[in-house]
Amino acid sequence: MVWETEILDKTVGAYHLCWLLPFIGAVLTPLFALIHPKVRDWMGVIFCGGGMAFAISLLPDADINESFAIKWLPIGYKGGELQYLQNSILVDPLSVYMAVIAAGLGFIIAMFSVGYMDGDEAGNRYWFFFQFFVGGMVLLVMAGDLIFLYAGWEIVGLCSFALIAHWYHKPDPQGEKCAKSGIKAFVMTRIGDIGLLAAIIALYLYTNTISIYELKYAGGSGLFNQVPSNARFWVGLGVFLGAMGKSAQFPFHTWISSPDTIDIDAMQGPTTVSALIHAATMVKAGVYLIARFFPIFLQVDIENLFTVIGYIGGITAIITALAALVSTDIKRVLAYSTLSQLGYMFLAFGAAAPIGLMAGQFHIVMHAIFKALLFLMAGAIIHSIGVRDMREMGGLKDDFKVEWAVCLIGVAALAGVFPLGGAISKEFIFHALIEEDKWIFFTLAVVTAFITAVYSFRMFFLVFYGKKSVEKVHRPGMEMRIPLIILAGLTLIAGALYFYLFDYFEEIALGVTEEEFEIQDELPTVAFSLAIVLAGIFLAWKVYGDGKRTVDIKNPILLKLQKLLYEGYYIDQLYYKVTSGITRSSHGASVIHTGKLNYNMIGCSLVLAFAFIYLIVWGNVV
Amino acid sequence: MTNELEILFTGSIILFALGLYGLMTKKNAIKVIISLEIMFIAAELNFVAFAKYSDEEFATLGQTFAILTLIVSAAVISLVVAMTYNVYQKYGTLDTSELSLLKR
Repeated sequence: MVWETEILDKTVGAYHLCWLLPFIGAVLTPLFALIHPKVRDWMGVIFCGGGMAFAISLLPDADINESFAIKWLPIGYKGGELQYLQNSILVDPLSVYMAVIAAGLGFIIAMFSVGYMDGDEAGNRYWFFFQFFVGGMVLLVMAGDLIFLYAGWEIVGLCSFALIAHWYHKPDPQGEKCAKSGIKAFVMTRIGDIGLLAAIIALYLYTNTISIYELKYAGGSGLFNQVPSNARFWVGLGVFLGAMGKSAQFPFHTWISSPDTIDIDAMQGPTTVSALIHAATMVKAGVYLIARFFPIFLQVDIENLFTVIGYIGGITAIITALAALVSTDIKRVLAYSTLSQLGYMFLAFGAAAPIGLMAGQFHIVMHAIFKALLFLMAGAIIHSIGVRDMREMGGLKDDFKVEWAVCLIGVAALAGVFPLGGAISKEFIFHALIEEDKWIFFTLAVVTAFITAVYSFRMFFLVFYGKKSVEKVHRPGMEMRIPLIILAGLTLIAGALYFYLFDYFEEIALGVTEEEFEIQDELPTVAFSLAIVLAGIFLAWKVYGDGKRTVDIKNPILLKLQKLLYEGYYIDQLYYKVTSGITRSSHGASVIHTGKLNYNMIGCSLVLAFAFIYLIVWGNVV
Repeated sequence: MTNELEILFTGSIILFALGLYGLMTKKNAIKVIISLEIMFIAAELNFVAFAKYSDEEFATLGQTFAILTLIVSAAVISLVVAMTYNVYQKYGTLDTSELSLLKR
């Protein structure tokens, strides 16, 4: 595989259009809105669909492994040749795979949100940021160098902030909660971004390149080797900090889902936003980042980093699964479930071998499909009934037949019922962990699988069974049901992707093929995981199957445990104490405000004059 | 003995000082925006001046940077003018000493 950089031709290729089209659609949104709001909605869907079409068209020749440069402006002459300021777009199996997921799910969710956001008074803002997000996400995954990666990273962070806080214009207190949620998401992901930026700058200082393929291949064994060995772990940790922020791992997980009593989290935004950003795409950006750097980290031998990744993923998986068990808000259960499954992917990466990489990547696409399905199903129900609390739902099975069937498929995939796609990827993760002798991670994964089965079917029984709670319902329209049916169909057949996975990722798999996974070796793991899942489903059916709304706990220890889980382990309360302390001290420091621009500028120029005089008199200048 | 580089450099400093003077004394928002733009231009002139006297490896880097800064400042100025227009619509005044809602 030869890695080359080509000069941009006069023709724009599919690898440019898949992220340019949503950007163009975003910019043209106000123009279409002038014609008619429905035109704006459907043009949004069409532009996202165009992006998806071009991303899918890249699939057949995704293994060209080439990086296409976009040259901006000239810098100077080096050895007679003109050097340019340039960025590049990388076309290789991992980027095309993630681009198809991002653009495809963007298209399906755009189609759903035509019906869901119908009649919203801030539709312009919604569609602008929606398409900007899809374009930014595809740019992130197709970036060939770290600057484009960081640009895409920041774009999705900004659009996530704007979309979560979409309803901030509603009267208080609802509007204020939305604004606070957006700010919370932005600030928490920002803390992670600092780690990523530090890693990028450190990499540039040590290796003098920003190009991802040069880090891996150039100079024989990759330029990453130029980083001194005591700094390699910290650079990797900086990259993982960025992934932790975006993918909401353990200390930073509260921006996606906070306990019911606090209620300031990403679920304040519209459900389609939750489906797109917090289930299918943006949170996968962190996983993609680690997957992109995975072969580089493997080459330089930093075993400790993989241990850290595995532990943080495992801790996140367990604590958020336990929190989902007691939550009563349907979107919150799904949000905690997303965090738990993301913890699974990082657990798979903790195996520190190519098979762990394949398992994690396979779980990305499986999880994206069924989680988007579950969120959209929840959105359809919330749109019709108007409540989010599961204790007020119930007996919806008769009125919402399509949603019932779709939800059954979705929670079966989430829990891991064989042979749905979610089960195959989960079992692949178990196999990878056993293969690499990571028994602690395996135990964490198994316990989380059991709890996952329990809470997912708990949600299913609470919503659809029991006494009927609402009399007259307004059923979702066809434009909301068609995406659900498409996604359900995809969930059913997605398991077959397993057979193409090893051919597709030929280079990363490093020669491992699926023929090596004989059926006889697989059966014990499959039977084991199926047993765990069925045990979990049986427990959920026993407790909630006859329509009980809540569980009365008599044991005081269990009651204390339930309170702890319900309050989210008091992590959010701790964060609020810290931030309110900082806010109070800055209020105290604000007595020096003048309120007049001219006085401030006089102060600035005094400092400038002082610095000037200092440099001339005491510095070594002039 | 002055050469061309020092002349350009001095010109850049004078432009910057003029922009700073505008920021220090003018109260009208539009005048403040114009002063800001003058300060941008001063920095760009500086870059272009140094570009001419750098060696071959970075022969056009200064000019490239000046073009990039021009693009960014154009975007910033258009946004700022749009915001100023909205502020005038809402508050009826462009006097920066009266627009002080963020002051405690």
